[in-house]
Amino acid sequence: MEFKIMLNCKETARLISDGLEHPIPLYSRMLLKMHLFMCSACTQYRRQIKALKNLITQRVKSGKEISTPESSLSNEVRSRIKSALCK
Amino acid sequence: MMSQTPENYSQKTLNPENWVDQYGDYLYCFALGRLCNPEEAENVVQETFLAALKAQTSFSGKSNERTWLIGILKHKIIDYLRRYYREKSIGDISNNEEIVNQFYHDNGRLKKSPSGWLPDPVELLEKKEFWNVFKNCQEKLPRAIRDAFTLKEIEQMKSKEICETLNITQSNYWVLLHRARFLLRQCLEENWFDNFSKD
Repeated sequence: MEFKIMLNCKETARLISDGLEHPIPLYSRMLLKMHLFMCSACTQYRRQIKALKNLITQRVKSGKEISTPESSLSNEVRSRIKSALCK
Repeated sequence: MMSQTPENYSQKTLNPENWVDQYGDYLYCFALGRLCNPEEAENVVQETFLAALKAQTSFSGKSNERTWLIGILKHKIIDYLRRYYREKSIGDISNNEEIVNQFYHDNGRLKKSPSGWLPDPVELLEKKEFWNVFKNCQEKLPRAIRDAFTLKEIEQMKSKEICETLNITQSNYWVLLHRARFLLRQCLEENWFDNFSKD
């Protein structure tokens, strides 16, 4: 990252996501903290991103699908697969 | 039904002749949830059944039939994605910044601040309507962004394997995740959370 004194919101959002994936350098962390201190929009953004991530993880761990589409294989496809299995 | 077999029966037998009728739709829905494309999902389900036929001897009977088939399906989905991204290499994604940039002013400030909501797990964990909205938001994501997100947050794959599957660098991968989170948050705000604001 090029040398910066302050982050803008766009850069902050990116750093928030990165922070969830890998350790970020000390200087970047400081810049992030500073921006969050001054920016309620990004503070709220960070809260929401983290909370959504946790919610999704909980859902996945509960063994439930995100949402089961009410779809089914068409009869045509069903027959096609069955005959492929018989070969 | 298979899943209600008592514990003391070891389930060493598979019944391939019933597979399509018994599990076809379930596998299809699962595949559709990962690939979002009906044709791709159908093909992957067919490949799964074919592979399962050949692999019958490897079925240990410890899991049930459906779980075993889903395991094979997951591998087939990954294989499919690998082939897809080998062909359609997404290469340099830095020039797709517009998708997120549209929400920012030129000076990097957000055009619209996030609203004051926070997701309540107690309320939302089992709420079907919410997850339907979530699913729609997920489906709206551009392909590579969606796949990166799904493999990471839903399949919980390791980043190295995700990068190999999607044929991208680590750094591209982090950009895709950032965009997924940004866009999903935006979509959920518009389509769920803002509808319940008390303002």
